[in-house]
Amino acid sequence: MSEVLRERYTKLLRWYPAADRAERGAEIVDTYVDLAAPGQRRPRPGDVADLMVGGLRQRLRARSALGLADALPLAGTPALMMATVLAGIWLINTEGNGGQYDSGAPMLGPFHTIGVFAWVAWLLVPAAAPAGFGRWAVATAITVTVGVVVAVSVVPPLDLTALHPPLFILVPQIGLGILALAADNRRGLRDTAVLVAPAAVAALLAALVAAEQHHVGREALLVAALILTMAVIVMGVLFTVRRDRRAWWPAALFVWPILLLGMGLRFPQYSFLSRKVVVVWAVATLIAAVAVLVTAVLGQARRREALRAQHIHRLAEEADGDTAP
Amino acid sequence: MKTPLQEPTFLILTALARAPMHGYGLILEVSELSEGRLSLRPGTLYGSLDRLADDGLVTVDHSEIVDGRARKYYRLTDQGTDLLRAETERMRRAVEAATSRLSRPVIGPSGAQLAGGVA
Repeated sequence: MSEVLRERYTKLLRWYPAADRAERGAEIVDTYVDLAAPGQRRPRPGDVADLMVGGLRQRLRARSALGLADALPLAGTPALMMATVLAGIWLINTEGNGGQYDSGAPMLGPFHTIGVFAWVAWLLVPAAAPAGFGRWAVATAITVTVGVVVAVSVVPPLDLTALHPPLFILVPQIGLGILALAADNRRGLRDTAVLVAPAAVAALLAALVAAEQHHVGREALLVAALILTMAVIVMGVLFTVRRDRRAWWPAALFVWPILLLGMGLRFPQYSFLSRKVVVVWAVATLIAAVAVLVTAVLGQARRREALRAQHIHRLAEEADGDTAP
Repeated sequence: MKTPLQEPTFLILTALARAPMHGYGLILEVSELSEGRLSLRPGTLYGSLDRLADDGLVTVDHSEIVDGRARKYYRLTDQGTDLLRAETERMRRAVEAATSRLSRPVIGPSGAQLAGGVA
């Protein structure tokens, strides 16, 4: 039985670089088999995720780009914070500002827009974090937001009414949420305290200034993009000065969310961007963000190779000097 | 590596402080040290060991064949021992400071505890 299990764990090692599989693969699989429950025939889901993440980390390590993996939890926290703050703003903006809708505007029960499901799901994340369900709550909020996006997308354009939150505020929420999944689950309590305070203040401010009717919170998108841009620049400078290997990796990770936040600003002539514009923008910016990450990883690997070659060259010169008569 | 250490790193170094250990033993030891709170998976553990080795804190001590399987034993380097000592000392001072304040709270005239020090 353990041979079947061993074989299944060994298959999962394909996530690791070939050199790691050869050097350490047997050791990792043996440890999994030692830890397996009696009668266990298949890797547990958590083990599959562990080997996948472990393998990807080793691939980054092989390219001297472990800073990217280190930067993920760090980037996840401000992403989660921003997603929660924006959800608070959108909730107050759409549900707490009823004066912007016509008296005959359709309602969904007591709510003005179906976006309320997404915003409430995001605002529940800080409440779930202390119980250790932060990541599950983020995944749920992303799923609900995707559901709202789909609902908005399938309704004919002519029926776009108060019930529909614009896609340009829903889609950035998904981008921020994906990055927020990387936030450190163990620090749930502290992060929640950090999250709730600014979210409450931002929601209150949004309620007080009540955004204009035809520019649903574009100012908030601009401010969010600027805050995140400044945050990653500060992080990049600080980490570079401190020789921290995370350096500018948080900036690379935020390229997609920041570009998504910029979507509503890029096309200010439309209150509601067409679905085609949103899809094209989301896909194009995702490709650009992935290209930035891949280029950065490959660039890091090239720099490491160049340094290694210089080091070997210097050692060879020193050896020549020692053997010279 | 900078302090304060993350808890998994601190516990791995602590587990290795007594004697060299193999991966499976380390996982059990870390779980015991954390009273069951932290259960490392092998992929995470070996990634952490690689990182600690990159930083010069841990190294392979020796390999052994057990039940037909090769097992690598890891140990702390001198640098790893120094870092663990420094971190333990930092934590000890923090605990002492907290214990001292908790045992001698400052009481105000009305009997309420004051948040700051006495003038």
